Amino acid sequence: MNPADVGQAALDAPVASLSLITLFLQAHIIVKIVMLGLGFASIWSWAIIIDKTLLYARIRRQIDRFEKVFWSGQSLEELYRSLSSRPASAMAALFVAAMREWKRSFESGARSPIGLQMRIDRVLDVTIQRESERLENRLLFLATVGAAGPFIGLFGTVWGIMTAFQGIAASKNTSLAVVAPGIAEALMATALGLIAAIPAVIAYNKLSSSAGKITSRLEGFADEFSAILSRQIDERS
Amino acid sequence: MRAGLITSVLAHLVLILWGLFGLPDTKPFDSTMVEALPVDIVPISELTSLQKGKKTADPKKPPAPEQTKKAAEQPTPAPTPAPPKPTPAAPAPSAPPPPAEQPKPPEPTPEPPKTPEPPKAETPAPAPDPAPAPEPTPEPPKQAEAPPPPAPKPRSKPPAPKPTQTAKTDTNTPSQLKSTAQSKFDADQIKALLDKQKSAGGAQSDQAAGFGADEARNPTQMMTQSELDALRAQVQRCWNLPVGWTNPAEVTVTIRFKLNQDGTVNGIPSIEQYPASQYGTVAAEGAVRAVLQCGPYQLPLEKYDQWSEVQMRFSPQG
Repeated sequence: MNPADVGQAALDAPVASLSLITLFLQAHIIVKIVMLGLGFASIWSWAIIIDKTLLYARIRRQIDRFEKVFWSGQSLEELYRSLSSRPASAMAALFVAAMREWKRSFESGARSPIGLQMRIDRVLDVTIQRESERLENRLLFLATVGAAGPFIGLFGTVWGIMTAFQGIAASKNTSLAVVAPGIAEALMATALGLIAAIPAVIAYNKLSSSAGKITSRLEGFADEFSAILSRQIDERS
Repeated sequence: MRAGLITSVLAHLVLILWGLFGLPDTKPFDSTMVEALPVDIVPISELTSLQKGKKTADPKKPPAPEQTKKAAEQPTPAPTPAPPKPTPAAPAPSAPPPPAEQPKPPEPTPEPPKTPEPPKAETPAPAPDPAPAPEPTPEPPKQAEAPPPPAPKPRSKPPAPKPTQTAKTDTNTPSQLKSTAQSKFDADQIKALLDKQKSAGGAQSDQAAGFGADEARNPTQMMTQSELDALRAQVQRCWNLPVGWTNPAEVTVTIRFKLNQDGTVNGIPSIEQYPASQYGTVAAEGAVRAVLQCGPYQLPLEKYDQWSEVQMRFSPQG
C-alpha cells in the first residue's frame, strides 16, 4: 500500500467508522495476526492456483503435441535423437528415459531380455513418480488452507467476540451500538477465513483431479511404450 | 511460480483497494429519522416512598438512610444562611452586596468541600432579596446586580435536592461563582446573564424541558411542559421498579416507542439502552410494560408530529 493510500484511508476513517480498514485497525492484536495470516495464506494459495493451472495447461498441450509426433510413424531413434538433449514435456521425459535405458542395454550387448524389460519398467516408474511429484507439489498447501482456514478465522472471531464482551462488561452498557462494532470486527476474521478457504478447497479438488488425469495419461503411455519396447526386445532376441 | 505469486499479490492488492475505496460503505439502516420526544421519568417522591417501604422488607437498608440524611441536610443549611440575608439587604441597597459576594468566591476556591454550602445559603436568598429590591428603587442597575446571583442558584438547585447528587451540586457551584464574578465586572454581561437565566427558568420546573428546547421546531408546535408532565405522570402510574436495586444507574432505562394519533402505542416499544446489571432487563421490561399498560395517552392531536415518537428515560434518580 503506497503512502497516498494510507493518507486516503486516514481521511476516510472518521467519516465511515465501520469501513474495512477501521475494522481492521480497531481489532485486537491476536485478531489482527489471524487476519494477516489468512491474508498471506490467501495470497500464497492463489499464487499456487495460478501457477498450477498454467503448468497443467502447458503439460497437457505438450503431451498432446508429443503424442501426435509419437504416433505419426516417425522413427523412434530419430525422435530420441531430437529429444534426448532436452526432454520438453513429462511424456517426452518418459520416452527419453526408457529409450536411454534400451539403447544403453543394447549397446553394452545385454544378454537377458527379461532383465532389460524389468529395467525399462522400473525406469518408467521412477520417471512417472518424479513427474507426478512435480505436478502435485504444493497442492497440499491448498488442502491445508481449505481445511484449516475456516477454523483459523473462527478462532479470530471467537477471540474478537471475547474482547467485545469484555468491553461490554466494562462499559456496563448493552445497547446495540456498543456491541455491534466489536462483533462486526470479529466476524471479519471468519469472513477472511472463508475467503481464503473456499477458493483453496475448490482449486484443490480441481487441480488434484487434473494432476490425477495427467498422471494416468503418463502411466498409459508408459505401459504402451513398455509394450512396444518389449515387442522390439522379443523381435531382436 | 514467481509469475503466479506476482499475479496473486497484485490481484489481492487490487481486491483490497477495491474493498477500501470502491466498495460502497455499509449504509445505515433506513430508520425514519423522526426525532423522538425525550421525556424523563424521575419520580423522586416514589423513590423515597419505595425506599421506606423497603426498609421493613429488604435487608439492604444503607441506601435509604443515606438519602433521608441528605434530604434532611438540605433543609438544615437553608435556615442558617437565612439570618445573613437581612444583613446585606439592610446595610446597603447598592454597594454592600458586591463586597459580601467578593469574600465568598475566595472562600470556596481554597476549600472545595465548603462550596456546596454557600450555594445553599444563597438558595433561600431570592425570597428576601426581592423584598429589599423595591426599597432602593432609585438605583435599578445595581439592584439588578444583586438579584441575578441568587437567581441562577435557586434554579440550578432544584436538581440538587434529588437523592445522591452532592457531586453535581459541587460542579454547579463553580459555574455559579463564575457568574457572580462576571456580574461584578460588567453590567451588560449581567443583563445577558439575566436574559439567559430567565429563559432557562422555563426549564426550572423539570430538566426534561431543557431537552425539549434542543429541538429546533416551530415553537407553537412544541409540547408544553404541562403536556409533557401529563404524559410523564400517566406512564409513571404504571411504572414499577424491580425490587432490590441499590444504585439508580443500574435501573435507568431508555425506551422508545411510537404512538398512533389516538394515543395508543404503535407496536412494541424498543429498548434503546439498559444497564448491564442484574436488574437491567427487569427494569427495561418494566418500563415497556408501563408504557403499554398506561395507554392510550391523551395528547393534543395538533402536535402529533411532536409526540408521534417518544423517547422516554426511566430513572429513579434523575
